[in-house]
Amino acid sequence: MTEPLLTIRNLSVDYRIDTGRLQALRQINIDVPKGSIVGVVGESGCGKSTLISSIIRLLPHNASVSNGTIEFEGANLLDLSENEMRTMRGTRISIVFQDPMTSLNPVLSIEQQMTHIQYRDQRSTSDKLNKSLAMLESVGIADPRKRITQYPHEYSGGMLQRISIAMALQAQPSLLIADEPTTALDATLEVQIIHLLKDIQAEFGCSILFISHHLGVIAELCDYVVVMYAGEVVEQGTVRDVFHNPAHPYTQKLLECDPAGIQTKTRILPVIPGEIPDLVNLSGGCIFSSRCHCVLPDCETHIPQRREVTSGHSANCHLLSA
Amino acid sequence: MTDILQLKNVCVRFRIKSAMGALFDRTSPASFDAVRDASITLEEGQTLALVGESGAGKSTLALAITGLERIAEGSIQFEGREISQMQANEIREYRRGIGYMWQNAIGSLSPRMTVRSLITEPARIHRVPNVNTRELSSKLLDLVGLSEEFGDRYPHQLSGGQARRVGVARALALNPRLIVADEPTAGLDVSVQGEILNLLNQLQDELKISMLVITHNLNVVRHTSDKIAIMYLGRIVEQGDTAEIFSRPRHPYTLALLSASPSPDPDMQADRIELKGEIPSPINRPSGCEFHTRCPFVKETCSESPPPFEAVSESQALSCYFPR
Amino acid sequence: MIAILRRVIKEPTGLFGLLLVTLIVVSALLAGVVAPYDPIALNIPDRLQSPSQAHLLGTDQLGRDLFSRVLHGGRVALGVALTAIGVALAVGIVLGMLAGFGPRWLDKAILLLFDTIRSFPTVMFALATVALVGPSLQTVIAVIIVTTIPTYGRVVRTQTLSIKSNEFIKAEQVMGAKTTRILGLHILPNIVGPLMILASMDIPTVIALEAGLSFLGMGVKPPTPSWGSILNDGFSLIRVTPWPIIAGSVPLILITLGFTYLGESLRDFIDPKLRKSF
Repeated sequence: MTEPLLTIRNLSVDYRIDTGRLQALRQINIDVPKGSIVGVVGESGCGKSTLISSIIRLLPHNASVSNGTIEFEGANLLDLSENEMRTMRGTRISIVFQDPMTSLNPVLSIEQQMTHIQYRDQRSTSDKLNKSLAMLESVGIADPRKRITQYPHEYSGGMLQRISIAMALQAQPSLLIADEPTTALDATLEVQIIHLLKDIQAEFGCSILFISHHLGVIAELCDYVVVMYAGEVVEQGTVRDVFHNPAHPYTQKLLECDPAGIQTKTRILPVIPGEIPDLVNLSGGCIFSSRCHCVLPDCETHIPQRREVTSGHSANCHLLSA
Repeated sequence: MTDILQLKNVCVRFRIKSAMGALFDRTSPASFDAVRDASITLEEGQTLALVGESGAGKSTLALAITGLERIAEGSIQFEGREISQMQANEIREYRRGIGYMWQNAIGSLSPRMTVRSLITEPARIHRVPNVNTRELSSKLLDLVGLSEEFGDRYPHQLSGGQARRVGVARALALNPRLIVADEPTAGLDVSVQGEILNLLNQLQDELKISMLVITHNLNVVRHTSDKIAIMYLGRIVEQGDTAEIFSRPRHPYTLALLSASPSPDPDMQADRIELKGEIPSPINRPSGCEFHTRCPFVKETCSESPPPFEAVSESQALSCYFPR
Repeated sequence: MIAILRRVIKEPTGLFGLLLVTLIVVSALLAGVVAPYDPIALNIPDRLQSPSQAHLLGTDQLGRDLFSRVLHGGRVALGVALTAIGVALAVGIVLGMLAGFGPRWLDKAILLLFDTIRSFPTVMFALATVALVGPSLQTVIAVIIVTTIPTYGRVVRTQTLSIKSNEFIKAEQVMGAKTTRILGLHILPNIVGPLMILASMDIPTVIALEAGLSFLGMGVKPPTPSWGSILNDGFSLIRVTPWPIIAGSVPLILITLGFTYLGESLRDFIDPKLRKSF
């Protein structure tokens, strides 16, 4: 791996709820190397959104980081003051959200929104406008000079997502977090956005942390993949290693379930039986043991440690040490 | 085999201006067709999938089948009876024969009712005589694989997959002959998608119900449907047996849809057919073949006059001048 | 119901509101038993007394016991408020749901009616009505009903419109449910919560309006005790003794506080967005 840009070490986040302490993230380790695209994949309840909120430090009031560090460009984000963190957001780290229809302000024109977010720059309004136009052009909006004066409702979903990406990149951040940016879009548009992100990454050289539940998209777009389950990272490595050679039973099952991977017609599709365990009362064993198809005696009593499968590919599973 | 549902040249029209507005402003159209000239047939006991992107008019067509949207032209026949001619009370009676599964599983459940009363609601609406709601709800819960305790829960206490199952149970309450499933797997995790599709398959095998599945995801219908109809801008552009559509798609739009779903294999460099731009508005339909604005294989003739919808084999039909 | 009560009591303001409201309601109900004197019995020799053991709040210019008058006045106040709001709520719900769920022309007609009523200033409307039919308790109630119907109607209409677009309403229609069933079973339960809160916060406003009209001599006819008429008497005696004014205004303040706190804590309970999340 090349030089790291974002290094998350032993990150644990809890929520205080009526029934106790909900351990939403436990001992998360993730590396985002400079200039790479890292995919985070997992099903609902795996802690993807908590992870993003911890990185940009916008956790809900009842959440707290109980352990760990988030190193970004040499500083621990968790140690920064609120002011320093605010400068960090939008300039060094920016986000593209899932639903472009609600992430843009409906009563401001695109021009207003794109110039407003450049408020930190000491430049003339026409310079800012030109920069906005150039950004729109680079995300594939045709005739930007005419379209920039329009309002969000005059654009389609795919176009709005392009604009969100343009706005996120305007300050040339070194890390772009994309939170399921294609989920709200149709399949043919999804493909367009994936290609756009790939081109953008090559052009601007930023790193992208791409969150998705869609395995196919991750396989196509990302260099590295992190598989999360119920608040833990269960497997990570290069996309090729993880998808061709999944070491954790959860990853194996997940790949098996993806309908895009099943080419022959069948009346009975594979599923993962059971449900995500209660994160308030943890069992003390492997988090996946209740749904796993190859449980060992150790699985119910010991939390598996991270082990290398091959260089750069690791999984948290007792099968690897057996 | 008999046809349970037959749609011929169905148009669903929405007015966008009042009669007054149309009188004063003649520059823009006063109405548009969300569904135009759609013909499909569903055979008894089979599954037909209606596939297309958002804005294709799939859900509008489904609502037209239930009689909730009026059709402007064409005919819809359910078991040989024309539904556009029915009186209000006949329509209500007719809806007994259709189970509808909504796209938004949780949102389609009345929030202040328990699961038990939700799934027996159809029986109460139609005042089915001598019905023991307790027994009926237990039977339905069992049918969709939910334990008895779910009967006392409220919609917000259900997960996405459980809410889907409740939706299925409600659709089955009055022994329907047709189930319309609008995006049955939308918003579900991949490991749960399979559960719902398996449940639908299993119910169909056991109860011999005909099904109309609406989806934007071709992968979803590969394993459930017998026939597929591809919709674009309110029209059916290609129709055929599932196996045939997957093995030999002919319409460029079908090709694009099929290749748009990335496979979870990083080395699979699919020779993808990528579409330009986005679906046009049904208010200003393109001339000629309505797909020509986005078609990667467009030729001059395409924009001149619309291609006819023609059969290319015994079971496959499409509207394209230059099928692949 | 018990669960709601428990929630309300948990918060100090909710508990305070509930206690105040209970106190006032009970004392108004039991006025006949608790009140030490007849509220309209004159006792000229004892007039304009300051509070004492015999007269807890003193007496007015005709020697009537103010404490007894306040208790009986509560009866009038609550009677007016509950009847007026109850009727206004019922009519408002029906009209509002018809406007929200019915055809466009009906919606427009009902809205026109609401806006027409609301364009009259309440007090002017009340004065005009009183001038026409003469002052009485019934007139006050009628005026209040007519002027508050549009408020509830508007809220019900907006709520109905937003609930109508939900999929569960469409689902009911596809299952073949009739409109009355949809309105009564699926829309009403979802709007009644916020309405109850609105109504409970309106009770003090209505009581103040009744007091205001009585104060102007347009409401309850003397000698019937009412908080407004107590205030009215006190106003003319303000240079002689402060006690009638205090006796008339303190219950008004207390009841306003009580219902407002109760309504607020009810709203926090029913509005899912304000309920404790996660």
